[in-house]
Amino acid sequence: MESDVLLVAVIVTALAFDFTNGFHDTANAMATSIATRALAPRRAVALSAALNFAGAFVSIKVATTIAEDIVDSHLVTLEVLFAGLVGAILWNLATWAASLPSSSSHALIGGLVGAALVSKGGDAVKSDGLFSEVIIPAVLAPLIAGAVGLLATFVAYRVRTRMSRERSDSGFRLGQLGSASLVSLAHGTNDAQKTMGIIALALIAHGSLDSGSGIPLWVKLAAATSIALGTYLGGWRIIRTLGKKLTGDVEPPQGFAAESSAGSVILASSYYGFPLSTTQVTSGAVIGSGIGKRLAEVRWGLAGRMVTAWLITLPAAGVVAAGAFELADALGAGAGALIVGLAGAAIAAGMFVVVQRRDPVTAETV
Amino acid sequence: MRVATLVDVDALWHVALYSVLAAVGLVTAYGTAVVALERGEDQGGWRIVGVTAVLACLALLAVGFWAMTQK
Repeated sequence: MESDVLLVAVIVTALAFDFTNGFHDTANAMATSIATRALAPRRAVALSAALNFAGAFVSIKVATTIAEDIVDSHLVTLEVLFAGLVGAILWNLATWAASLPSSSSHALIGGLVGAALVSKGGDAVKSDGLFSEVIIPAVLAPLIAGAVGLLATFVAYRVRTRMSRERSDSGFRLGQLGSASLVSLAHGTNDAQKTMGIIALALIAHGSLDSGSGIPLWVKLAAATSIALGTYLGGWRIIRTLGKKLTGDVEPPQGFAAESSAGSVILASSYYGFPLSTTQVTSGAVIGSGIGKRLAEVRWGLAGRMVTAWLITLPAAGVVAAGAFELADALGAGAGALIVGLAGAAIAAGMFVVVQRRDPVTAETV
Repeated sequence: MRVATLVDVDALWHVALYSVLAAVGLVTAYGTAVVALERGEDQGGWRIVGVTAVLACLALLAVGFWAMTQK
């Protein structure tokens, strides 16, 4: 009975994380399209939501990398998964409140590592995997995407000299429909799969699913729906940061080049099994496009704040998850998870209300 | 712990190379298609260039979608 309650808590929390993941990462695909007015804000998030939903079904291989390569999967319990997810959700909301794009995947990994450390000690964490799958790619992702974005933007502006300004703007705005759609679809294949993997692990740990028997359809549907709903809600604060604040006014050739660069890097890294964060790739491509556009402005102070958020995502989510684990453990597995889950939901709701009252950003004001 | 042993340098090199080729290729092909659309109204030869550029864009998108399904 206690493990049933814990399983339900993990599934609900995993879907809540998936929701915040979509909500947090809408900006990755749509920020520059909204900034250049290639798409109206509501239409942009609706398109992105539909493509994230579809993307969840494109690849059938489940992303269990998180639980296999970062922490010892034999030591992953329902309690560890639950606490890790709570840490990831609260960190996602904290960075959303600060209007900073940060990696949802890194928040999830940080949460799992933090919970696994306090639960089973240092042996539960695979340090080689943590370095090769998370820390080194986190350093390389913005650099690669930035360089690609710089080159692509330089080329876009060279091509633009051969046509009229009106044709250039209308043509590249139209192109952004395709480039933003590609990034949305790629995001759905990456991120919805992670939640499916977490729920599958929870079902295996509970004994409700045989290891290696594949992902049940209801898990796929639930994860795809959750990330799509989160995407549709639109993380307007982060969209404003990426689309308008980071490099000033984004022009259509710049937006098209940034999205094409982000899509290319995400797909190439996925194909070669080199795990790069979608958020860091997109942010790097936007910064690169700002440098590649002549006389464009990159607000380095804001870029520095983003990098700081990236650096502290792992430890911060880990600390919150460790606290959640200790608290749930002290209160007893089933009841503890319920109480911690409800407390986490209350903190999240409170944070949302306070931030939206203090500095509301909506589809109309983004 | 050496960084070189932790990073798949071969994969990293391929990611960087193909990302540059795809992004710059897509921007060049699409930009050329837009130029051709504008100039094709006056000069017929640009229509062939435009169609070729559009086909190049579609081919790049098809490769991207294929890569997505290979994860």
